[in-house]
This record gives sequence, structure tokens and C-alpha cells, in this order.
Amino acid sequence: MMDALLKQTSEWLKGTGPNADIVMSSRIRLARNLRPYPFSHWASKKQERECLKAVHDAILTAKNLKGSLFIFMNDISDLDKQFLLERHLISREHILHPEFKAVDVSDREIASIMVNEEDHLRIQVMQSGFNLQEGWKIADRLEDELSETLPFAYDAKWGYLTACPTNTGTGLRASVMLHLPALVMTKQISRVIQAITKLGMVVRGLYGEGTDAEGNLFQISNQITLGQSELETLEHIEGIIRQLIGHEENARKQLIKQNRDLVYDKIWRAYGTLQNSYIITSKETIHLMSMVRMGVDLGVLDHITRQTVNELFILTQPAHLQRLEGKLLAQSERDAKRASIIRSRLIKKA
Amino acid sequence: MICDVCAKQKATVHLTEIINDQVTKLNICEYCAKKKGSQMEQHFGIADLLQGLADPTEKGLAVSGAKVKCVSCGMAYDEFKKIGRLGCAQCYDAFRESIAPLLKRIHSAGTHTGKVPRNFDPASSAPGAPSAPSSASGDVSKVPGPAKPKSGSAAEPSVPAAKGSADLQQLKQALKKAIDGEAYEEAARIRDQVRQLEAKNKKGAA
Repeated sequence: MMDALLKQTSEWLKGTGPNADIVMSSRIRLARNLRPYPFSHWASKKQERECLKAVHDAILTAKNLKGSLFIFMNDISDLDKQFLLERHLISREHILHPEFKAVDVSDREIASIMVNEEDHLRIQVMQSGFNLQEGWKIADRLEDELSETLPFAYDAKWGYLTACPTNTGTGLRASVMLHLPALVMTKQISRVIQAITKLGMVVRGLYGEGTDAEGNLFQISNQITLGQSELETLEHIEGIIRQLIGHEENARKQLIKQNRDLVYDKIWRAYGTLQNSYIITSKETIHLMSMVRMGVDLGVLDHITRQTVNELFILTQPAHLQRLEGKLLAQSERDAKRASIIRSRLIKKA
Repeated sequence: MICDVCAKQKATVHLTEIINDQVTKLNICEYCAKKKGSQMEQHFGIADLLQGLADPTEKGLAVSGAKVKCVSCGMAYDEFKKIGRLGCAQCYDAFRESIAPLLKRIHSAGTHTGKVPRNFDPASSAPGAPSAPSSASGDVSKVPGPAKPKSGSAAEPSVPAAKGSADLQQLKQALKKAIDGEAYEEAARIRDQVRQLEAKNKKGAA
């Protein structure tokens, strides 16, 4: 069943949608719990099993999730768990304790639901580009349908009740993945991050909590979930993201104006290295891919599509390489396989 | 006005923190504000928040019961403090008095204003009870339930986009009035609006 996922391009990697040059993807996450059961970390095995069954039954009958893939975490290999993590379909937490945990993946990986994570349900919707509103509409509709059969824990004063009080209220986390190479190159990024943090936003790397902003990729999400409606939360973060996009655009323009040769040099060298490597680590890949992506955005590398670049960020991750090869690979083998995939995908200019 | 922290520079940033109904006012210069900002940037978990920073809450708890247990799932408040996660939805009721200030601290607000489950029956706190909801179309702006007096909440959370500095002044005055009148819940709400508006103005200026 993982093969089906491997063959398709996740919707959020398409490189389309508003501001897709700077915004890689937009993500909506809703935390929900079933009133009858203790939160996952506090539930007995029996309760976890029952909760998993209740959610599974609800998903099976949900029209919005018709044809989705329901995966029990205990049924799949470690490699496949890692594979789902790399595709942003599950969290690290979901891998550590797979018992009674599951994930449901919808068509084109637009929606996914983690079951028995920190909260009983973590509904996630991913979109390409800067498109939180559309993501929210899909998540809202999906949640509405599930709430017809599942008794979500809700309090008149505090809204949706979650395991951690930082999610209480709307249970909504709206995140936007931004590619900000020019702000990093012009050394403005730390100032920008500081300002965003003051506005109630959280900044993380490509793979969430505690990860580095490798490849100049930054994930920005709201912190507050109580006292703001969902739309207010979206408007707030959208306002901040719009500013950030403006700053990055300005920084790119400035770089080109003042240091054109330097920028072109970085882009073409990155492209050249990726094009001609036979061994390459994932860290070097992501660093160079960032420059190539900027080259595509600036029209310097006009023969490469944004989707190709976005896909390579994910396809060159360890579990994806091994899935593509169809077997487990040692580190050195992975570095060779990675280089070969990049060479075949980053075509030469005609 | 001189900065409360360095006592050298002119104070241009005025912070009003409301923690568990205790108002702390701080007037600081831009440099010290930045320093404070970066300190706050450091990540700390909810458990740290509960253990270290929530001291004012602790005093209340000594009376209201650090030994309180949730009858539904058996979690004691002390355990929640240690792991930073509640045991079940009913814990919110069991620890209500202690959780209220905590939520306010985390979110700078104490009342949900978002989505309401379609089948939510305001008469009973247990959702799932079928009833004729007033918000069948998924109206997210209203929270049914115990009617809360919303005194002087002429400016509800959504701030119209085109508000200028005149409104900001008005809001700030309203904030002062609310604090003076010890209407802290109200004050917290206005403060958030001030923040929002300031952010928007800043955006406009940028």
C-alpha cells in the first residue's frame, strides 16, 4: 500500500497555489478527543483499543474520507514508519509507541488523521502554496462529518478539550512552510524570527519541533488556540506571513541588484554539484537544493519545474530512497542512490 | 519615564501583565524589551510553566487542593504538573480552578470563541446530546452556553482592518479603565486587540 503513495506526488508538493515561490506548503491541524476515553498517554490498553476502533469505524463511514488508506502503525515496518514521517503524514511520537496507533491518509495525501497520538485525533490538511483558508475549509468539513458519529470532548467555556492545555480551545494549529534563502543570506533572518515570536508565532524547521531550519525552510505556526476564532487565528498568521513574503521578495531583489554575480554563482554551483555528484549526503542535498529552488524562482534555472525541486526535498530522504530501491540500504549506498536520483531528475538545460 | 530594568534609557515599551488576577506593570526601554523578548523566545515546556512560573497559581492551589484527583480517570493535579498533560476531558472540570489561570497565562484569554460542535447542547456540558443547535450552519462566531456578561465589549476580538492610531489610543484608554476597574478578563481581551492592532499598523508602515 505504501507503493501507491510512493508513486504519487503529494498535493502539497505540487509547487502550485498562491505565492508558491516562497511558500512551500500550508497546513491545518485540528486536535480532537473522544469524551468517553482518557487521553492517549493516560488510557489503558483496552481503552486505547476501543478508542482506535471507534475512530476507525467513523472514518470507514465518512464520505469525505472515501477511498482513504487506513494504516495501523503496528502493521508496518520501521522503514515504512519513517517513510510516512518523511512525507509529513505522521509525527515522531507516532513512531515511538506504535501500539494502538493508526493513520488515515486521504486521496493525494490532502488530509490525514493520526489516531491515538497526543490527542485521539489529529486531523491534518496540507495544501501547496500559501493556502490556509482552503485547508481550513477542508478540515472544517471533515471535522463536521466526524463529529456526527464521534462524541468530541467540548466545554462551553474552553472549547475543545485537549491533552495539553496549549491546544485547548480551537485545537487549531495553522502552519506555513516558507523558503527564505535571501533573508538568511542577507543575515536578516534572526531579527525577523525574533519579531515573529513576539507576535505569538512559533518557528521551527522542516520536520517540526526541535529540528533545524535546514535548506532555509522555516515552519511558522500559531501558538494561541483559546480566545480567537479559527478565522481570526488564520487572519493573524496570514498577516504575518504576507509581511514575511514581502521581506523575502525585497531581500531577493536587493541581492540580485547588489550581488548578482554572487547569487548566480551560488545557484549554478549548487546546480552543477547536484548534477555531477555520485555520492551526496542528505544534508548537503538539502542545502544545495535550497539554492536550486531559488534559481527556479528567480527564473535563472528556467528549465526545471518547482514540483521537481519540491519532490526532491522529500524523495532524497533516507526512507524514500530505500523504498525507491526496494530494499534496505547502508548509509554509503544511500548516498550513492541519492546522487543517482538527483542526476536523473535534475535534467540538463537543452 | 525611565526604564524599570536598566534605569538609564527612556522607557518606550509599556507592558501590562495580568497573571492570575495580579497586574504587573513594566515600563522599559527598547533595548531591554528586545532582551526580554529573546529570553521569552527560549523554548520551555508546559511542565516548566506549571512548576516554575505558575507560582501565583500555587498559592491558590494550596487551599483549593493540590491533592485534588479527577474522579473519572484518577489523575492527581500533582501528576498533571509533572507530565504537563491532563488525563481526560473530565480533568478540566476536576482541576477547573487551577486550570483557569493556567489557560489564561498560556493563551492570554480565558474563553473559547471558535467553532462549536453542531450537536452541542448548551444545556448540558456533555456534548453529543442531540438538540436543535442554533448554529447548524457551522456559525463559528457564537458560543452558546452559560450567558456571559460581556460588559463593554463593544470591540469584540475581530478588529476591522482599517483602524488607525486613534482607535489604538481609544483601546489603550479602555485597557487602562479595565485595569483600574479590576476587570481583568476584559483587560486581557483589550490587550490582545491592542497587540493585534499594533501588529497591523506596523505591517502597514513596513
